[in-house]
Amino acid sequence: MAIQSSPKSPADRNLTLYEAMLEGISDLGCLVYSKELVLYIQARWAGIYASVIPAQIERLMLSRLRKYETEGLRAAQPVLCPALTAVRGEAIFRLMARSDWPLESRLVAATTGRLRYLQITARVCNLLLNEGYRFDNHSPLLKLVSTLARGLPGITVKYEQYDLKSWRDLASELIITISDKDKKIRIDSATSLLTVTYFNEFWGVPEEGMEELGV
Amino acid sequence: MNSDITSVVGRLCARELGRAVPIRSMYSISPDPSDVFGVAFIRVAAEERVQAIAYGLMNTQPNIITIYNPLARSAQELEPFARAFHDYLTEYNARGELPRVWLGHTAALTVLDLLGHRYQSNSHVTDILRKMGRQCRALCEEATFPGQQVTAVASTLLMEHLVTGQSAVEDQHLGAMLAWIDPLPEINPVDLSQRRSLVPAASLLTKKADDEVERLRRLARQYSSSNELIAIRRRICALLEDGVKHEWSLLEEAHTAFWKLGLHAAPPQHMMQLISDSHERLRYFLNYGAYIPSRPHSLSLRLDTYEYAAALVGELDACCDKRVRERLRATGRVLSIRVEAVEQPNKGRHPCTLTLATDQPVRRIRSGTRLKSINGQILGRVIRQIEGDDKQHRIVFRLLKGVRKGRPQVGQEFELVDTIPFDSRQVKRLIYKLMHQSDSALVYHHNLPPNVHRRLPLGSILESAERSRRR
Amino acid sequence: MSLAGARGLARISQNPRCDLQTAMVINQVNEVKFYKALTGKEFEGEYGERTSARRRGRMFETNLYQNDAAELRRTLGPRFGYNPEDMSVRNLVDEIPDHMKGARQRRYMRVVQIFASVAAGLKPSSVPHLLIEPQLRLSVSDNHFIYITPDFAIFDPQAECYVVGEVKSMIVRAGSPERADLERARRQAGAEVLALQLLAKQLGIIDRLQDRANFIFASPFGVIPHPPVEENLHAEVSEIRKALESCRRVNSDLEALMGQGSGKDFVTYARTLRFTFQNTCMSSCALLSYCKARISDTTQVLGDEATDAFGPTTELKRLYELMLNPESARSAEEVSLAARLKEAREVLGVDSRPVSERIRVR
Repeated sequence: MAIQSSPKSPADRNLTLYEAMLEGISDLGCLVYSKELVLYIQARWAGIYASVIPAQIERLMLSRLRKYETEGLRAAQPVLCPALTAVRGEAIFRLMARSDWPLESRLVAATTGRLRYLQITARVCNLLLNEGYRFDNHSPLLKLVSTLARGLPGITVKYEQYDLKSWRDLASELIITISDKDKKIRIDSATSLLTVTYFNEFWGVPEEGMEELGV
Repeated sequence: MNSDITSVVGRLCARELGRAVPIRSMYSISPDPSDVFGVAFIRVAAEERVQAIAYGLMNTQPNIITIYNPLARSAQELEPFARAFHDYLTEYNARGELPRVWLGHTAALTVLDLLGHRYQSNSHVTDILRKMGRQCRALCEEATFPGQQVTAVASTLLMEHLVTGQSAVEDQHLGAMLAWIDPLPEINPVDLSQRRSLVPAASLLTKKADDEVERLRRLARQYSSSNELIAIRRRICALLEDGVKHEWSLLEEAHTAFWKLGLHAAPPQHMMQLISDSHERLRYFLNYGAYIPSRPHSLSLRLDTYEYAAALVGELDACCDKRVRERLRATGRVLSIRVEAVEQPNKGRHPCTLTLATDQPVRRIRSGTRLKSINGQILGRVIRQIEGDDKQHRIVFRLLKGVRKGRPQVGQEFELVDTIPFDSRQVKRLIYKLMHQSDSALVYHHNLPPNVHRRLPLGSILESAERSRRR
Repeated sequence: MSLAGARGLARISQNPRCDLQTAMVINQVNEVKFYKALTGKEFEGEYGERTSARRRGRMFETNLYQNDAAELRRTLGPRFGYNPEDMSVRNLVDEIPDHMKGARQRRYMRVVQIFASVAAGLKPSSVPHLLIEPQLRLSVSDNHFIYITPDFAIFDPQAECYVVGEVKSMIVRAGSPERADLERARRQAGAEVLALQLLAKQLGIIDRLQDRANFIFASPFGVIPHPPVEENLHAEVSEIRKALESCRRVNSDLEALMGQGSGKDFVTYARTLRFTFQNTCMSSCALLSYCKARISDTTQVLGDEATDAFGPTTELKRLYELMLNPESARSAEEVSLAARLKEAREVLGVDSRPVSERIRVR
């Protein structure tokens, strides 16, 4: 496997951590756990953010989101927000999304956990196969991909052996089998959540307001 | 009087006397062979992986191996130990003698066992390491048999032979226990033991050193320059070496202290059987592998073997160890008797019935109990017991062995013990073979018949029980 | 050994008569600092988990929980009749991380919602098959809770309710981990089962629960899990229930004492609390040397067997005197004791020397 790096553009070098987070999520294209996003950032901007940790970006996401709401900056630009459970709209604070994504793309139904996992596996494999030149340091991304591949059915990951193509193909194959069903559930959930009194599209339903949903 | 109180009183005496008190008068293991192999470990806490080994013949300078990265896939660092271990065992095997391996405590035995589990059939390591794995498993499996003579675990042996003036839990710390054995007059063993127990004696570094090693290993990942890496590696190895040297010195101290207890050795004629049994098992484990039985027939046979081995040890102790015998007497398993009458119609021939008298208040006998004299010349069965008015308890005893030359005479006093081993394994082996062949669902746990609730017949439970009683 | 959550209750359950330890758990003190405050001396010896042990525990858990708990689903799914690929998972710590304010309370409320759904008859996949670190709690008083966090809970389709489970990185040999480790894990799980039962009782589904938990230990090979084991925990649940009662009693005593407004702090009260010294203290409590110094003249210092045989307050010096001079017995009780001691001494065959030489007060 030949993955080549290339020098970053000056714009890339001046990114704030928050911008890097937003850019990372966009690039990965699905809901992302903070620990996965950290590895992406460490790989892509190793020269600047090599020592960033998950709790740091979780706190940053929360503080920006609060500021975003209190200062009425809603329309200004997209921010990071937590994903929400599809059944009751509870926030999953370690699972990050972008506020400019439609609500249904920010929901997690029973099948979404698996779908999301397959999506990110396929995407990281793809990045390493075709767009490796965009990354300063490949090792965090390789660490991420070998961890993800361990969850694929029938795959045994050998130490420092990356069968990226077959992992990507398997993940893509499995995505097709569940994506339609999952999408339908999430669209239905999004519709019903919007009718809930205490529902906030970014923070979800507060625990105290859960009675509203009925059990 | 139960043995717990005896051991508590032993602790009381030890505390007041300021030194450990022996609870046996005879060593439970045979004397060491000419060369004794010792092993001390330092392991990674919880991971149970070896990160340092001190090994070699006891009372010589140990060889030391330190492993910089114990979680690495390579296990090459273990090879010198594997070779030395293999050479030692092979040499003894060739001589037809029983080897002996000394370990400090049960934690070291666990590490040795895990080495066995990890390497005995590991296809990624060299042949010598696989051999080492099999040998480690063989020694650890043998260590589970009562009376075995190969693996000597110092802390266990010391706890078997003496009690100290502290609690049994504190005795599990080898260093703390050694503080009580033959202390210098000016040293208070209570204080010394307390000080020693602050440093672990369980194949571990001190917490401070352990955390430092972990920190250095993390640090090493950040450095690429070879000079810095070499310095870190040296520091880690030095800490490990200090730790394993401490473990080795504890082992040596325990080994010396044990043989300096001054107890007498078991008579060779009694010890021979334990040694030959141990030898036979070890040879089997080394040749065919030491696997823990899991199927009902093999597990049952293993339990029978344990039982028989324990009975042999019980017999040896009762017959040859005065202190153990006294404890057994307190529980009624040894009787001091006087012969009151002998009834033998034909001299030198069966039947021969003795009337024995004892004033022991605690007797653990009933009709049918088999008893023998401690020299083994007399063996018989209790026919019945007679309570007398004179605090004397009388036993009618039918001799099964010793009716001729050594027959007891009226007025003779001697001791009888109930520790008579019976080797049922030959018969049981046939039974287990049949059990295996019949493949009963109840035994082998598959295709069990449906669980149908049984209805009790009408009437009281007592009546039902009476009806179902075998006549 | 930690004082937090289920571990704290497990510790109390091993020695429920020690009010001092119970008070430490209720107040969640830092044991080492508390030792210093109590004795005025620095704590000697080792305390707390080693970095290497913590690392292994973390690695083992991470291996099971990563990728939507793929390894855990594979390990547990077939046992409960699920296809691992079809199982849904909710990781409560991912939902509300520890650094967020009121995280435990918020997680608990989410767990209550899930259980309410179960009580309403919902089944997977309307409720998750697997919960990672579900938050439960036990109440010590109206406003004082001990939060209990099982490592996981899995929905048992036969019982129609969740069963808690513990993930422990201790290594299994011959089918079982070390006995002492297993006992600690079982007690911890006992606290989790009890917390689950209390929640189920509030929701009217207590009849669906049994005193059982699943354990996942490690195989000798790295962080690979050993097949799960389900254990019945009747005894442990009962012991934890007693520990909780002990917590409530000590808590109300402490509230009564400290509520009187005398301005004294907890350390001052702690000195007056009853303590019970026993064998389990040796491996678990930082106050070991403090308590041991207070009982060093009595039989307790020789261990539980001595306490059982001669009572906890009997003085060693007196016992020794009685053993050597049975005539010095002052009561019928002492006469009988002296006879027992004499007999034991004869059994042991200990050398006798003049009394003046033998009796040395330590």
